[in-house]
This record gives sequence, C-alpha cells and structure tokens, in this order.
Amino acid sequence: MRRSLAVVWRSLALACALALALAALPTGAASPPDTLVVGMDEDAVTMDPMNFRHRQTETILRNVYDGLVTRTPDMRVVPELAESWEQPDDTTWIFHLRRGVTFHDGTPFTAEDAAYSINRIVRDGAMGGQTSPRKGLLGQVTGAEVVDEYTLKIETDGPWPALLSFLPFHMMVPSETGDRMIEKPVGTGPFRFVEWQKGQRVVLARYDDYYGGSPELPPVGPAQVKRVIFQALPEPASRLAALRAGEIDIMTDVPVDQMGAVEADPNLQVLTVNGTRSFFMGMNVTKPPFDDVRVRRAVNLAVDVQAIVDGVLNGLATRTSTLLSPQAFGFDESLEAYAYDPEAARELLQEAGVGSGLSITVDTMPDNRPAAEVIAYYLEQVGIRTRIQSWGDYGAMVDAIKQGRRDAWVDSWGNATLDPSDIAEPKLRTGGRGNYSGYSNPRVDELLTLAARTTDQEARQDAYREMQAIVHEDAPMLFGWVAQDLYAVNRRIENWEPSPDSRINLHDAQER
Amino acid sequence: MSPASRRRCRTLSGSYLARRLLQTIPVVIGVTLIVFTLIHLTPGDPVEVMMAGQGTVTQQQIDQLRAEMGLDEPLWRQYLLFLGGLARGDIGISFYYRGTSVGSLIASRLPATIELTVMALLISLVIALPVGVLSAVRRYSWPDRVGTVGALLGVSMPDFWLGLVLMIVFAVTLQWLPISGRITYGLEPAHLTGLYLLDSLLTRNGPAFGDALRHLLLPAVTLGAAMAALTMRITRSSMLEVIRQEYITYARAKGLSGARVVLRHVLRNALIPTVTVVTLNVGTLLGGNMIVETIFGWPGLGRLVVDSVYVRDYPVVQAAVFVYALTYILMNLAADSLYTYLNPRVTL
Repeated sequence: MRRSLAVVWRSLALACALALALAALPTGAASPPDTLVVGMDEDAVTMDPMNFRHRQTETILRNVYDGLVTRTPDMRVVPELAESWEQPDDTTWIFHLRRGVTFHDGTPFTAEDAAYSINRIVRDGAMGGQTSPRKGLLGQVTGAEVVDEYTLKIETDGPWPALLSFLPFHMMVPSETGDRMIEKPVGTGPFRFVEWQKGQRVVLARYDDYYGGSPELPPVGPAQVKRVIFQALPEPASRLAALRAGEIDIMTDVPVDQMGAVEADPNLQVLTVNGTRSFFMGMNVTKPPFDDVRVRRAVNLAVDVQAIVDGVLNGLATRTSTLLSPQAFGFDESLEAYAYDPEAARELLQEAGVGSGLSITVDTMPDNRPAAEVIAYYLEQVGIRTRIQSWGDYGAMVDAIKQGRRDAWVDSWGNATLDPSDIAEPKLRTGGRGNYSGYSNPRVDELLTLAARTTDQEARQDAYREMQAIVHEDAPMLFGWVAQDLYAVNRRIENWEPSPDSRINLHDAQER
Repeated sequence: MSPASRRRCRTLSGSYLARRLLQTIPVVIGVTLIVFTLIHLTPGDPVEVMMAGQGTVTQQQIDQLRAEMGLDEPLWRQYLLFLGGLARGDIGISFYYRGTSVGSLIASRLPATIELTVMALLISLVIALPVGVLSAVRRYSWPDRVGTVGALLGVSMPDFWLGLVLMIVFAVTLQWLPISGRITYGLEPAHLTGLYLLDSLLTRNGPAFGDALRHLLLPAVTLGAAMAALTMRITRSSMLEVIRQEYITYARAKGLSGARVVLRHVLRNALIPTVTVVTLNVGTLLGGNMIVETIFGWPGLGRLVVDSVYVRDYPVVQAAVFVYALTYILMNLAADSLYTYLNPRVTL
C-alpha cells in the first residue's frame, strides 16, 4: 500500500513541477515593438472588399485599400485617390485622379482600376457571377467609365446628391487582380496585406511606397508603425484584460459598465466619439393602442429619455428629437425633443380613451434590456402595464416584429453616411424595408422623394427639416438617443482618434 | 505476441467494425435531416441578418442575394442539393464568410479545437487519475477530503468565471501567460497538421512549441477543470467497488505488492466507467466549447458554429453538425474498443 501511494504522490509532484516550469517560462504577452494591435469584437468575414456588409471587415480592409474620397474625423468628405471632382450635369460625375499612386504590387493606379472597382459593385454578376451585396451602398450609380488615364466618369440613374457621402466606404482595387483578391488583397492603402489567420487575426505591414493619403489629413506620408494586427477577441472582459496586460493597444466596443476599470488604470485612456447609430422604441402603428397618435405622443411624454442617457448609458449618448443624429445632414436643431411630462401623458391617454388597463409587450435584445426596463418603469407610472420580452436572437425578433403583431420594440438603426436618406428611407417611407412600425405619411414620402432626387443641397435640407417636424408630431417611435462609441487605448499610442463612422484609420498612429 | 494480447486482438473483429461504421450512415443522414429542418424552421433569414439595421439595400437586391444563396428553392430541394453535395465531398460556400468554402472554414478551425481538447483531456487525466486513485485507497483521509472539495469546486465553477479569474491572475497580474489566440504572431510553425504543438515538435521548432503551449494552458485548464472533477469522482467510486471484490483480497493474500494490486488489478478493472465518461466527454469537447473559445479568442469550431447559428449561416451549421455526428459516433466506437483492451472478457 505504501508503495502504491508513493507512485501516486510521485506523479502528482511531477505534474506540479511541470506546471511550475511552464509558468516560469519567459513571458511574451506584450505586443512586440513597432506593432500596433487592435482588439476587436469580431474577425473579418472576407478579404474581398466588395463582398460584405460587415463593419469590422470594413474597418480592417479600409487600411489596405484607399477610396476615391475619405472623411476627416469631423466627417467632412475630402479627396483621397481622387484629387478633385465636378458635376457637368445632374447624373454625371467626373473625378480627376491622383497621379503617381501605386498598388502594393507596384502597378500604377489608373482610371481603369477605379472604373473596374465601381463596376464590380454596381453591375449584376460582376463578382465571378455573383452580385456585390454592397450594390445598395452605391444607390443610383449605374456604372463608371474611363475618360482618360486619370479621369473617371460615374453615371447615376437620376440625380443622386448623396453620392459623396457614400463613396468613402468604397475601396479601389486593381483591375488586373480581379477575383483573386479574395485570397490576397492588393490595395493602394497605407498598409499591405500579410496574413489572415481566420477567427484569430489579420496582419498588415506598412507599405513604404505609400503616396501619403489625403492631403487634408496630415501628416502625409507612409504610415508610422511597421505592422498592424487586428486581433479578434469577442468577449469584452477578455479584451479589457488583454489591453491591461499590454497584449493589445486599442480596444473597440468598450461596454459602458467597464469604463470605470479602464479609467482606474493609469496606462489606459478612454476615447469617445459620437456614433452614428440611432436608438429608439418602435411602435406598431397598425393596431391598437399605438394606431392612435395621442397614445404615441403620450409615450414620448411619459418616458424620461434623458434619465436613460444619464443612468443607463453613463451620459455617453446624445438625446435625439427624432430619428436623426445631431450630426446628420439637414438636422433641425430648432426642433425640441419631447419634454418629460407624465401629467400631460396621462391626460393624452385619457383623451384617447385608454386611461387605465392598457397593457403592452416591449421586445428587446439583451443589450438594450436595461434601457427597456427603464422605459417600462416610466410607462407603468402613467398606467401602461408593460411586459418585457427579451430575445436571444436578433433574426427571430425582427421576424416576429415584421409579422405586424407585436406592440413595441427597443432597437437601433445605423446611419454611417450621416446622410438622412439611408435611415429615413428604410425607417419612415411607406413600405420601407426597415419600417417595422407600418408608419405611413404621404407628405413624408413626397419629401423623401424630393430630397433624393435633387442635387440642390438647400432644397434637400428644407425637405429633411419639414420631414423631421412631421415625424416628430406623428411619433411613430419613442425617440431615443445616439450612443457614443467607446474605445480604450494604451497611453503609449499617439496620434490616433476614433471616427464617428467606426473606421479605424491607423495611418498616423504611432507608439511612444 | 503473448497469448493474452493475441486474445485481445481477436476480441475486436473487423466485421464488427465494418458493421458499426455502416450503421453511422443512416444515423448521420437522420441527424442532418433533423438539423436542416430545425434551422430552416427557426425564424430569421441570412440576408436579413447581413443587412440588419442597414438601409442601403432594396428588396430586389435582397431577393437577388437570396437566389444566389439558393434560398429561393423549395426546402426539400435545398436538402437534396445539400446531400448531393455531401456525397460529392462539396459542402458548399458559407453565407456569412463570403466566398469561403465551408470545408476550408471547418478545416481551419478544427485543429484549434482538437489541440485544446487533447490538452484539456491530458490536464484532467493528470489530475483526476492520481487523485481519484488516492481518494479510493485512502478513503476519508485528508487527501480524499481535499479531492472531494476540489471536485465539487471543479464542477461548480462556471467556465466563463474560472477562465476570467485565471486570466486576471496569470495574464494581467502575474503576466506569465498570454490571453488571446493560439500563438504569438510570427512564431507559427510550418503547417503540417494544423496542430501547432505537433507541427512544432515535428519540425523541431522549440520557440513555437513553448509559445503555443503557453497559449494553450489557460483555456485548457479552464476546460479541463470540470472534466477532471467528474473523472476523479467516477474513478474513485468505481475503484471502491472493485477494491471490495474477492479477487483483490486474493491478489493481496498471494503476497502481491500494494502498488501492483492497485495499479494492475484494481485500477485497470475500475477504468471502464471512467473510459465511458471520458470518451463521451471528449466527443462533446471536440465540438468546441463556445464559452472558452470566446473568452480566450480561441479560433475553434465552437465559436464558429454558434456564431453561424446566429447569422443563419445554414451551410456551416449543417456541415458542422455532420462533423459532430461523425465525431460522436467514432468516439463511442473508440470507447467500446477500449473496453476490449481493458477487460478481455468483453468481445465485440
């Protein structure tokens, strides 16, 4: 018996010794010098710049590829691969391209590449028989053609004033590479593609012959850091741990409740930027009780949205008077958000004949559940019994809402261009793709058409302003907020700031 | 070859194996049919999910994308197309990972999961077997009590909690081990099997081996903890059962040493339930553990499949379930075969 125990003890001791020896190995957790590591919640879904609708993929690839135009951190559209542009008529755009730009394989960038890139998006079957899912991001563009080596013509089907707001998303690819870029991207951007370890990381290296990027975004020249790694780390707590351990330098999507932990660490700082995603509680206007505009206004009066912004979102959001972000084109700053007035709300409900006994269900995904609970609290205060239905799966929730039998739902909609068209068209136009409320107002439809079909920016602005006033009155949703995007950054990273369209442009970033 | 080992070989017949392998075909077809039906019955649509919250797409473009994905075909035809592709060894193109074949997606993720599973298994066995044996032979002693409490902790600690605690202690505070991924960029060994430890051993790449091992430790310990607890308790209880048998008393009376009795007569006979539990556990683990893979940014199969369910990536889910069914069946077969080795009276 003694000897049997000795065997057991010996194996245990051996296991412990092995574990200690492994643990004592030198550490290599910190990111290597000259390498900037961005910790993101998701990996890329493809390396083909025309075959996705996915924010993280765009964030990564936009460092490899440049566009005809780009945006400054304050969201102005400025030249990038195009030096200037003009509009000879309502449906034609001429772009004068930069000379002396080369792709990462050394071939020069010309109008042929630009035309190929645009056409690969807008033409049916242009991606090896498939059609680009990004086609909708070029709205009314029908095609592009070469005028001369450095002049490009883009044609639209009818006037399309929002073209410049959409162009920064589109990347210029070499016409020669064609569909092979799926495996090995070749761009003109500040970083060249090195490797994609699926599910784990995308590695990029500085392109030393970079033309310098937009002159409006100094410094102009090659990127500062030698290498960039986009590391996928889906769990926010792990991302933060990796940031604290020095394994990553920039962390995206910091949850509001982790802000304190970031701020407590002297090596880290929080950077915020106004996001472009609007949050709201949609209401089903096709059935009682929300088919009555008085009830919808009462909901807007009953809920103290500012309390949600302050309490749930730590103040890191901006309240909105309608669906539009305050940064959006045509935003009407004179329009005031509904004031918190539960007394007025009760009166309106009485007037509508739904004084008490009204009972609704609010659908939400887990992220928005805290906000939904506060909304429910305020609705209960004015006598609306509110049950919250939490969904585990967004696809299933939206499917249920689209059947038209749900009451209300807390949701959001993106507006990365900050042009009202890509949020107002789907959410507010009669029969719009995202108009789950079933809202319909002929005047709103008219105004949207007007704004979409004129290149007169003043007329567009007026149309959007009138639209905002009507929508504010019609209240097809409880108007909510635009949340800020939160990034946690190691203090040794300099010259980088987040961008409202959630791009991470690492051209100028450097390490101290 | 000794008479005993010859007898052992005879107990596992080739025709038995062939029959068992043939039986997998209807099982796998049944499983794929059930999963196919379930995932298509689940509300939500791959194109809608891709375009969720984005206004810049028309209904016509959505219909076109659905047609390109083959979603406009009737369901029965989609299923037959899937089976036909499977028979030809073509399991389709992912909806979500645009343009990537499902085969290459699974092939890129499977080695990570296998490596993690094997390491977790090793860690759990290294802890569970000695402690289980010790607990049984010295019942109610303090090592037994420590083992019992340890096992209780092991099964009670949720893996997301244990993973985060290990991470904060060993990666953030002590900075001994890394947090995310399988290996530090630039140290990857030459690609032979996709299993970094094996590849770096085969290519005699010391730094890669050390780095990959260090990346493996935290997730493997997290994953191995619950498994160790279970294995230990099973080993203990079945050892106790065997210890009371008459042939053990006889072996002792014969004057065999304590170690020889415990390891050769008790442990070997007591291992059958342990083998059952461990192999079935490994069958589950080879599907990938979504939680551990998510926490440690481990590029394994579990994360891929769960993500694919959320984005309604039907081809990936279908193919992965096919792989799961196959793995599980094979692990069952492996367990049965191991019985014949452990107990020559078992014939298959």
